[in-house]
Amino acid sequence: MVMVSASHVGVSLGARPVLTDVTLDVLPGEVLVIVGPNGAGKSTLLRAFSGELPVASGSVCLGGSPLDQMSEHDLARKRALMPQHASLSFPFKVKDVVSMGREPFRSDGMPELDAVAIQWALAATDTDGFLHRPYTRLSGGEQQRVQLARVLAQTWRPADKPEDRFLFLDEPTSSLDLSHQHATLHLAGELAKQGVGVVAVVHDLNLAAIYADRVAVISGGCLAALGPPSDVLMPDVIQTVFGLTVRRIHDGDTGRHLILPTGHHASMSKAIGIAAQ
Amino acid sequence: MALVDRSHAGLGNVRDLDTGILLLPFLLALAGAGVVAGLTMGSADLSVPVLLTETWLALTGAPPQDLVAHTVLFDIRAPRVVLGVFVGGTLAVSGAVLQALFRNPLAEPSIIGVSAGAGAAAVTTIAFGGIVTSFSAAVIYVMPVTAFLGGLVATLLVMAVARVGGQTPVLTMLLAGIAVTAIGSALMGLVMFLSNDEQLRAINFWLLGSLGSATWAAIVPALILMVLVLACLPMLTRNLNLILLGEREAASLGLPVERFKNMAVVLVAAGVGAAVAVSGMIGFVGIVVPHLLRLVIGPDHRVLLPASLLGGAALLLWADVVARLLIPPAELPIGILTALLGAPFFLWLLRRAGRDGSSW
Repeated sequence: MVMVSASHVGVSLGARPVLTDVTLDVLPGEVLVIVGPNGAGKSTLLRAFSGELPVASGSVCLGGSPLDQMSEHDLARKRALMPQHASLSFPFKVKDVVSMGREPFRSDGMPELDAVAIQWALAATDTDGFLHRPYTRLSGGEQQRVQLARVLAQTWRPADKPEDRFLFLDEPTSSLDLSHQHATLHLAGELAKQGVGVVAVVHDLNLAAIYADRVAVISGGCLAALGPPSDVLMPDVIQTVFGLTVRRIHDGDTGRHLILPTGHHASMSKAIGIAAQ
Repeated sequence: MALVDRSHAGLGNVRDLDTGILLLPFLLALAGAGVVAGLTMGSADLSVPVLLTETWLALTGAPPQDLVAHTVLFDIRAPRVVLGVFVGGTLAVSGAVLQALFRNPLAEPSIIGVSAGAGAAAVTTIAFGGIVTSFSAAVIYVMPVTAFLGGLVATLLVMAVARVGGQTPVLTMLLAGIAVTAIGSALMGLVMFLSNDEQLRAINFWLLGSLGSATWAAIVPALILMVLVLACLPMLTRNLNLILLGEREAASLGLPVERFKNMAVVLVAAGVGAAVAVSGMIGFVGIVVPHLLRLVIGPDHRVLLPASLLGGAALLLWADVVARLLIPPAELPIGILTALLGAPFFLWLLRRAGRDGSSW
């Protein structure tokens, strides 16, 4: 099985170390959700995993080969990356943006497969209703779904040729409405069933609890906890990492556990207290 | 969010180019009419039948019917028209490519300092090239190369200075462009200060920007360079689209971003350097043409680059005709005309960008 494995990875942005000694494998067929406080290094981990950022120490390998020794083109055929912020400010049509997801496969000369991938990605993200509209005229949430469609088109494979491949999503749900948030993570699960290793940074712990096969908690540039959501998303872990008191509630109908905040962020509520005096 | 394909209807349309491609024949006609106008109009008016007759005679190798008309057409106006096509096309295409590389629709050779860098190198060559190469005829061959190097240094400088975290904000880009242009102008001033009267006249005429000095011998070296640059364009179009998507996105889609950008910058500097060497400082073609076309056909470079090529050629051909007819028998330098038309357009763009609150 081809997997992405990070071993003892350290990353520095400028002189500041952002990640220290993270060891983590991503397997095809699983949804791995990364959670953690702002500035903990979640996006940096995702960027190191996808080969975008060079690692200062340790290594990230895909199928045994270090990412920095693979060509951009080979890498693009094995993994797709959706950054947290899209920087497109030119009025490409939606279908043109999504079509660009097939760029790594253009050398195959199979335009009919590309067309199927694009059509599927548009339908799967509910963006096929505005495929001729300029990207710049869409709302933030619609733009995010178009970017998702682009990386889905890159991830698509014909059903008779499943390959191990990876999809990295950096806060794919940050601008989405409730139903599209759930649809996106449900889709991640469906892709995992087809052999895709999905890694997603998500802030909503309840989304993580429902859809993740495994949850990785990043705190202060280190891996604080790793495992199935029912083991990891516990009140004591959340208290330690986020400084927030929560209750874990069991929902008898679905059998799921929900995270319900009962307190406030420790240091911020202290600051509010000072201001009130 | 169905995982299964909803329908296969219209699949063929997904990657088709849009109706914007219909604009290409129109631009071709506009440029073609500009060629005819450029050949027939001027201080000696020639009719279209005369043009056709003489062209036919020349093509069949027969002696010309009207020797004066033949000379005016093929020795004076034809090189000028050919130069107009290639300089206009190269400047407009270079503008479009720079706008993609900077991911900013306000980039343009004359605004971000490429032209000034090429100009400073060209002026230096005019003044001192004759001395170094010992016979001044060589200057026409050396100038496109030195102008290319000057433009390359200027572009790399602006790119290095104006980039902030993978983006090039309009403010830093324009400020870096101002600074690089100031350096180029200062160098030009220094060379002119050191020049004698004869060199000064040559420099001054060149600086104003003109297609008027075109003779076949003088334009061939620069033409070769521009044709080479334009021939490389089809290789760039898809990758320029990816760059517009974002540099991180382009990299994750398999584009070696830095290598590609370096290659594109060298091509732009070569094209602009060649254009500047033979026609002087003709500004704003690179911003007016791609911008107007982008409004109509969108940002897809597969259509935008050929359209810019034709549109730039058409604009410069017609501007040259106007420059010839405006105050006969004198000719207005074409650079003055494009700046008078282009600079207000640029101001309007800046104003519009501010009003939209967009992040240019």
